[in-house]
Amino acid sequence: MNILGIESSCDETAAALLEVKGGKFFLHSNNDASQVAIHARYGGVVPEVAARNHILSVIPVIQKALGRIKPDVIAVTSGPGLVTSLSVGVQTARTLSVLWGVPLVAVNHLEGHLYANWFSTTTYNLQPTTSIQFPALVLIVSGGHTELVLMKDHGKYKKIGQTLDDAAGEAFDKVAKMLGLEYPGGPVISRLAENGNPKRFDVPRALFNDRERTYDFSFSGVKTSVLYCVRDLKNAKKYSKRLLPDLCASFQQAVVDVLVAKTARAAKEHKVKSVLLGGGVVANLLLRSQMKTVLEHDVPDVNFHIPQLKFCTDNAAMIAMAGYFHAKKKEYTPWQKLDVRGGWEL
Amino acid sequence: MKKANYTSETVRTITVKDAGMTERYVMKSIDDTNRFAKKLVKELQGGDVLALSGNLGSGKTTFSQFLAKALGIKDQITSPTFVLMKIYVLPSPINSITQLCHIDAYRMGSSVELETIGGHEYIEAPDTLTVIEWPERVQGLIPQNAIWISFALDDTV
Repeated sequence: MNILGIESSCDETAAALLEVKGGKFFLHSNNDASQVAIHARYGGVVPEVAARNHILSVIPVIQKALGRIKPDVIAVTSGPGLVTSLSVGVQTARTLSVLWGVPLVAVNHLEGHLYANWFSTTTYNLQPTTSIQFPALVLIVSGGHTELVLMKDHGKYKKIGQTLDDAAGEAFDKVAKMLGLEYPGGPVISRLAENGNPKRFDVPRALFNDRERTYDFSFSGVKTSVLYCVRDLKNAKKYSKRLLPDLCASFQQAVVDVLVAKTARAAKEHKVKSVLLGGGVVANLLLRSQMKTVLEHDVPDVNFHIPQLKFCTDNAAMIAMAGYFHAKKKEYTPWQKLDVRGGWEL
Repeated sequence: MKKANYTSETVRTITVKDAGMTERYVMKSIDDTNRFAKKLVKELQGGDVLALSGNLGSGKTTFSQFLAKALGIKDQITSPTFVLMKIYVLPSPINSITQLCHIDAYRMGSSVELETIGGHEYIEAPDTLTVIEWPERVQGLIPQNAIWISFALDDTV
């Protein structure tokens, strides 16, 4: 089965071709607009506008992904995300579906992040089989999302927690901005934190004490706490750039502590067999190492899977993978009914 | 709407510029901000645009969350920084407002970007209350009679 995956939920316009044969996966292509030389064709267009001008890049990106192959199924992100961006992917998919007589699968963007784990992952605590066992708990953490999802089986999801305000990746970017650091914030904070003392500054962990049994997250308070800290230091004339490693380490530790603790508690409470990660913040080394350590301690029989990093940032391969599992069960949406769902919850 | 509890709060100042008049409010706590949002909703109607300016951490999104709650919206209003724009439908119209359009221009370089994503179609639409964070980034699309609300920590407006 050849699955064309299309992703355009926000910044990225991406397409991928996934072949599934005899239960084995072959990813033939995984492209996005930045790789397709369309900007050159529209000389004078401001790059950041072109990046979100999905309508200019969607056809070239799909053409590059397919080559000469006509897919058997088209899987497209129909939500959640920015309505106008999603529209481009959805309308293109619908049109191709009619033109080629090929069925459509509507994929939830977060479901895509979850299925990024089905491209061979790094698995810890290997059981005799390395395939992902259900029930699984997935922590999706990116610039736009922070959610804990219970996955009982393919297609059977239950969101058990989410951020009430900022996503974790967003917190990294904004704190980096506050500290005068470059974008994207995650890598630079992580790098500075390596030489910093995470206990130096008292950064609060919101929704984190024993009374709070919620699996929801809140990171806007962490952001403002760093702001107050810097302000107070500056008022007391004690601020200097030499404090940056400690500030970064303290902030990063606060975010990771909450992500890991809630995931571990959820894994135990729901008696899951696997814990999966998804989303761009998976790149954070402290998150990965602390998650591994805590899970090994708290739920030693659980398999912990980390997807390959290239499938963690927004991409179409993960959409194609999610699409495959729906196509297997013939869970198609007729082109007449496929619509954009900006606020689609898993 | 669920509310996160903070371990420390700072006084904030909200300054409202509307139709040539400026008024300054001091928010001593998050409850003050909630009360302020509830009161403001009574004066708003479809087609209104709120331009929320203020630095990171000054309270723009928190205020937006209280505003949405005062409009009866049950969805959790999360930060639109990444997704740029979110639309929420009111369970029942208030003052001819049937939907809230929450725009965050933090990641935008100019008004052109807001137009590219279709944001301008919501601004001043008669059934829509539009709230724009970081309006300075998309100055060209902010209508003349928008209500400007500035947020600041302490009283450094």
